[in-house]
Amino acid sequence: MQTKHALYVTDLAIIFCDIDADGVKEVFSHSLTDAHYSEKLHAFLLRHKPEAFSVYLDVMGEEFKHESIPHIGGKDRELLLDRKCKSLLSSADLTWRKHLRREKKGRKDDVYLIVGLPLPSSVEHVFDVLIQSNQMVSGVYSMSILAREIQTILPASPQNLVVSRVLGSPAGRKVYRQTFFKEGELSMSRVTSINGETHEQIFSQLVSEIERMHHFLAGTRQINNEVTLDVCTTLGVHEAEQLARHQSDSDKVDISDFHLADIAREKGLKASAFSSLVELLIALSASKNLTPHFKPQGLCAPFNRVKAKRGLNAIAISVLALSVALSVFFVFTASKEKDKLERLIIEIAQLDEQKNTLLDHAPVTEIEPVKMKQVVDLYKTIHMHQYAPDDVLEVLSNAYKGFGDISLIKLSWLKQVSAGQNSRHRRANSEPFLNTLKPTRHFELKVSLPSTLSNRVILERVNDFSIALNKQPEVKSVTREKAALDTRANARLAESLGGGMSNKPVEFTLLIEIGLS
Amino acid sequence: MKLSTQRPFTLYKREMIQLLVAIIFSFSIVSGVYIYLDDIEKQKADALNQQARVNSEINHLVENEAIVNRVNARFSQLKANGFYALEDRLAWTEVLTRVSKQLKLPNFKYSIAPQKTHPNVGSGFQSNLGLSESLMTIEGDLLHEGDFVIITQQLEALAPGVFIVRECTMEQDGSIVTTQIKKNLTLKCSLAWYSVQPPSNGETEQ
Repeated sequence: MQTKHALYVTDLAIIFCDIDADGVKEVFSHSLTDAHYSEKLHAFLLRHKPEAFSVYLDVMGEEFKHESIPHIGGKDRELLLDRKCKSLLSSADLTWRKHLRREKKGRKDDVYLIVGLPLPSSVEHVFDVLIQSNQMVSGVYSMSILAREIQTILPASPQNLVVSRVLGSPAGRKVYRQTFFKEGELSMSRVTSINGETHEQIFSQLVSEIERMHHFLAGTRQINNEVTLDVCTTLGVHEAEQLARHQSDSDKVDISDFHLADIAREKGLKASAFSSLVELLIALSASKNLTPHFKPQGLCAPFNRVKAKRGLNAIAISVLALSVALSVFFVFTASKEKDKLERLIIEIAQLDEQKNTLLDHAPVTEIEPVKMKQVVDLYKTIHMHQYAPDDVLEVLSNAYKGFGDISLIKLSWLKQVSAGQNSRHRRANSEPFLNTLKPTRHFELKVSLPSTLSNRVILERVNDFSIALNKQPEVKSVTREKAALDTRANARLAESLGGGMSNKPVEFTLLIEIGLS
Repeated sequence: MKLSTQRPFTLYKREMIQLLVAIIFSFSIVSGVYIYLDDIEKQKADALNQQARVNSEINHLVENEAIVNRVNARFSQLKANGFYALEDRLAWTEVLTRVSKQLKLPNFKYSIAPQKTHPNVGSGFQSNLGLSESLMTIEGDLLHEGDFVIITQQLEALAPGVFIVRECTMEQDGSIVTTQIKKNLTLKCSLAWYSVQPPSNGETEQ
């Protein structure tokens, strides 16, 4: 643990301590009753040159208030608390407040503990010395408020009184602090001065002071008289033994000793050899880095200034370090990229060479090869959709074999009608040419049969011819479009059967769909 | 207690100047290095684009070579055949005249409509390919349907270009007479002739 420093100030003395893992070591002490204490303190500080230290105040006259304020937040709450502190503790030089709880009934106000600390003139002089010598004071602690730190390890009781010794008392005089906790909360603390030479005189008076405190608390109705006041003495081993010989006459006061070593162990302190609660609390605040209770602007200004300067320097160094790291990263990335770029440039040069070789050996053509290919493809496509007579007639003649009694009267290549040409809204030439070429084409074949044949035979022959056509692989469909003889149920069937019958052949029109491609 | 009345800037002048210098220095060095990196990145991007372009050109050349190897012979045929050439209507009429005489066709006549261009060939083809279409109508009386076959075969074999039978009607005219030369079939046919017009000023040769 790094050595820290503390300046302990009471109404009667100042003590400068070094704090390390072994505990608290006193390095300077002086009585405030001496007229030259400020010069001696100044000289000590010049000599000792502590870097930064905290001030611990253990003085009389602290005032404790429990105050309810409306539940408001933000700046308004701070302003209201400032006004409360000024009105309730007008004589206090330093004030400290702590939110305790929120009321559960009524307006549900917030309950604050407000502590006011009036500084004796001797302490103000000490502060002036510290300010004038530009000492780096990180903050000010109140010993009574620090006593809250041990409240959690006190014996479970609704009303505890902690008795501890104030250090730096002159010979023939002892000073003790009695700190009262009610329902686990700091309620009040007072300092008692006892004059006496012998232990007998001192501790009998201390017990009397404890009883007086009990009467005071009972009189101000701060304690429940029906319940015993648990007094925990946190004195050194020798003092505790002496006090044990004196007991209170009141059956409502129960005095018990609370070993400092036990407190130190409970609070996780490495050192255990403490002679007073003050030493223990100073060591505890230093090791746990407890937040100071007060930070008077004038007193803490040098420390704050140095802290701010260090912060600014740290930011500057961080910015520099970050920029250097970022620059190194960028340079590293750039060097990698540059390597890749150089490899790429070599590859491009090789590709250019390859391209030039290909260009030198490229065949010379009249038009660009892609267009050549398109011309060839276009020819093939057109040729495929030619439907020349020899191809069409071959299909028909293959089907016609064996149907000599059927006369072929007319064969028509029907004009292809594309979807685009049907649309009124499209311009005539807007449709792509290839879309006008259909994979199949329609042909109209008009056939006739002699009327000498019976209707049944005629229909059978036409059907057979249709079937023969359909059997051709190129023929996709055959439909009978017009027929002189239609026996379908939805068609009209009429014939004159009287004399004067004509020998007019019976004609049929077949619609044939052929796909040659 | 006396309070400090110095202004913050006076108190922390040195530290703030140090911080300012650190920020300016850091900004300068980081900016400089970043600009250098960015420049290299841009050069790399340009090089990648160039590589892609050269690769594409090489692929194009290889592809063109393959196309030429595959279609050059056929293209030359088409060029000789007249499909990739200016339309030669006179050659068509010569073929028709010759076949008409050869088949002794009575009343055989033809007409050819003005040429029109297809600006839009279709998907996968250049729009400015130069496809032209001319509609030829032939009419006449035929002895039998084989005459029509001969006419179209002669046209296909000897006339430049390629045609599609657009619309055609071949109709028997009364009963077939075999004792004398007399027309048996009436023919009316529209043939759409196609050719691709080479560019007038010639294209860039490869």
